Amino acid sequence: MKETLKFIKLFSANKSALIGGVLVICLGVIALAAPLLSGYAPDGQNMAEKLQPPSRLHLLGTDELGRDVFSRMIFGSRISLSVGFAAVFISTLIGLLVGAVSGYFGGWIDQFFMRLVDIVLSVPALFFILMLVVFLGPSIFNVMVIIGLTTWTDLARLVRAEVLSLKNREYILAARASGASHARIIIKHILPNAMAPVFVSVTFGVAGAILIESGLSFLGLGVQPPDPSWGNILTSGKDYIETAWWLTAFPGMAIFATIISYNLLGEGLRNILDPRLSGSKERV
Amino acid sequence: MELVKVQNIVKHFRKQKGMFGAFETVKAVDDVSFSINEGETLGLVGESGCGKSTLGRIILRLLNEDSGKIFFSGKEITSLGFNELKPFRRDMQIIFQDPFASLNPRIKIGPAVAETLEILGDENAAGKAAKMLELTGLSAAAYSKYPHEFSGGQRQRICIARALISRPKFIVCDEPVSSLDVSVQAQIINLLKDLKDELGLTYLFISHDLRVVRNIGDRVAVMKDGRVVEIADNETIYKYPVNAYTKELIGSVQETGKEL
Amino acid sequence: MTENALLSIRGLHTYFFPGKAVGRAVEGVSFDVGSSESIGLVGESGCGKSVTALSILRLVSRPGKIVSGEIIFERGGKKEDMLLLSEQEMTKVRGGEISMIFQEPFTSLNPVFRVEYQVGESAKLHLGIKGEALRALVMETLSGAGIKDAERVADSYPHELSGGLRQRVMIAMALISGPKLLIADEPTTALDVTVQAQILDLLADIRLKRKLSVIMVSHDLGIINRICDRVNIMYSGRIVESSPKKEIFSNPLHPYTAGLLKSIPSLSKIEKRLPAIPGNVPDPFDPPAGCRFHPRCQKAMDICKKTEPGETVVDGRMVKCWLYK
Repeated sequence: MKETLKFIKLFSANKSALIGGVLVICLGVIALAAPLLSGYAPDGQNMAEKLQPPSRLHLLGTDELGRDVFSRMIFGSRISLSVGFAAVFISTLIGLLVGAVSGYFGGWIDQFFMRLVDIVLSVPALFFILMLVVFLGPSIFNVMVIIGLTTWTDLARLVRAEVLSLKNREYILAARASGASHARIIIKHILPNAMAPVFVSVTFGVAGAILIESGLSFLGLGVQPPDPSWGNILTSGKDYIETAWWLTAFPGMAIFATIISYNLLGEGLRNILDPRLSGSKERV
Repeated sequence: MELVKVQNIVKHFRKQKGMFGAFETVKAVDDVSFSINEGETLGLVGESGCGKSTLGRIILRLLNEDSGKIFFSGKEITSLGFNELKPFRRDMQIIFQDPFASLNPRIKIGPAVAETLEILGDENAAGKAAKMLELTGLSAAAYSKYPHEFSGGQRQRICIARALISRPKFIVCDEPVSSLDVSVQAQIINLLKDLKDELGLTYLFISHDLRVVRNIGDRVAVMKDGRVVEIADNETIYKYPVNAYTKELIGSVQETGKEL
Repeated sequence: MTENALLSIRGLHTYFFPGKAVGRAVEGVSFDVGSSESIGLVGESGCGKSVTALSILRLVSRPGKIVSGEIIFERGGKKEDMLLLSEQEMTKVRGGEISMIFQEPFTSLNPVFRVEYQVGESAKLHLGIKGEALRALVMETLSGAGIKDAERVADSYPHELSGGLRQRVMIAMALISGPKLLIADEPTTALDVTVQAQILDLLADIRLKRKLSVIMVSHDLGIINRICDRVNIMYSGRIVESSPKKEIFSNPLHPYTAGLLKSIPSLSKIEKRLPAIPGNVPDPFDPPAGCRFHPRCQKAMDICKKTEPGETVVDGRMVKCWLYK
């Protein structure tokens, strides 16, 4: 309880964390409440009203098929965010597992996983992702999995370093002297003490995954039309960039705002959770 | 009756100089043999890096030896695997030097003390933990607090309670008072003595401080560079040390009673 | 104030301000250090002994702050309050006239420079010598610190040296500019007993040869016995007793001093139970009222709980305790 209170106190005192946190929550609420806010179906075509500039009827205008951009965008945010979260969930799971096992057991297991990390890192990420998408075919599910499978390496290294510094603490030895199993030691004694950098990495990870998803969708290799995603709204808008600026400006701004709010939150969390970086002795 | 017997234990560490440098062998423990009788305190004295802590951990099977054998209550435990060791874990425990590093900061005192019993599947682990905390001089209210709410001396009491919860026969005390203030150090030494008498414990008391070992050990073993260079009765070793290193150690102690 | 004191500290208060709380680390400490005198500052963790030492050189870092007091030091025949000196003047004092050695020889040396450079740096700054003269002085100082193969050590990096050698290098670094006062903060705590004994011998020897004044900060009365003429016992930010060494060990005045002496285990006698002081060292952020020691004191009276005792002089010794009023 005391720890939670202290966290809330530090969090609200940290401007970057506070602003990022509020923005992230707002974006989440908008995505959840999409059907209530939209007013139009995201794929409802109305050729009579195509390529309308922003107006009271269509807040952010309409596209070449007469679909309401605002509605498409807030439904698109559902897809972008869920791709972001699902991808990060997968990468965190892999990163935690590989990092913890590698750091805890050391020896050849560590060697094996760390060389694997080196290999994954030595292939340009975008090239790797594009290849996999081409191979597996573009779909929301594939995009989630592929992003997840290619972005776990940083976290694995981070967790490994943390585990290395924790595993020789005397309380770990004491647990071993009590007959605790390796699994119990990792789950109960090591990981809870290594979670701070994980939270920070997850926050940055969401931003990164959304960016990759937008990029893939923009290239036509991510979320496929008619499902709306910020990336593919941009793609269809780019043909009209001279006549209908709203088709590209608003999704671009949405991507920008989302990335910056997650990065602000991540930066703030890092300062709160990691005393080595913020120079403060207080740690939650 | 012999409770612990250490036979020709050897442990070498390989250390590499730089990433591509040559390997260098450090003889942490080099052919050490002794035994500890039931109810006895064996003091193990030596300077940093002499291998005393490594030896303590090998005896508890927290580190694997390179060669040699450890017997506990007459049974050889060096060849036992993780599961076969479990019943022995109840009987042998350890107390560490740094009471700040030896408690998990995120686990409350009660569950931390109760962990051994919980692993063994004892249903009354919590109740026993609360009692053990009182036995080591803490209030039962400590049960639901976090480690950072306690001072060094109190934390060491918690660590002692954790070590004693499974009613072990044998405890390795690895520099248990070295990081404590002098006035608190004496409290903890007294507590360890009292608990030994009350519960019939056997100690391997590892320390760099001869003054402390002098006041708690029945016998004393002096270790240097991985070897036990002298082992004798407490009284004998201080009054009539044979080994040159033992003499040097005794001569180096700064005492307040010494006239200069 | 003693007329010929090299350093006199008067009413030093150093507090810590992390957030809203106030930690009264040093509260009203006064003592003198005579020329070529060796003073011990003894106490347990959190008693303020190290903070007092750091305050003398104004090295207390935030959130700590020297709140009030005077630190009078004799510089060039003049007595000056060091708390009023400019930061620029202070850099001349540090390492030049007053030097300090620390507990941890492993972290007090910079790993990327050779010993020669680090030892010589102070002399370059304070004495303005360089080149061959500097190297000669470095060698001489290293030898003076009991280092036999000074040439080899001078060309080494700190990580190539043992703990004992590193501490000797630290001592050489502190002495090269010929300071009048050496502050040693737990200089042997991180060392093994046999090395500790050698370093203490060295300090005792250097002290006499150089007619150096020494302030020795330690938790270990055995070490103080080896080196000091006079002992100040600190408890919870105050000096509770100040006596010559001989008298303090044979006839301690303050109950805390007596308790501390008794609780040290000894080689010469084994006791069934060590006479421990009950309770814990007080928290500087939440000290008890009245005499800070009263909750742990077996001789505590009613007045001890309410009012803090002032200084009493008994046979030329100072004690803060109601027993002597």
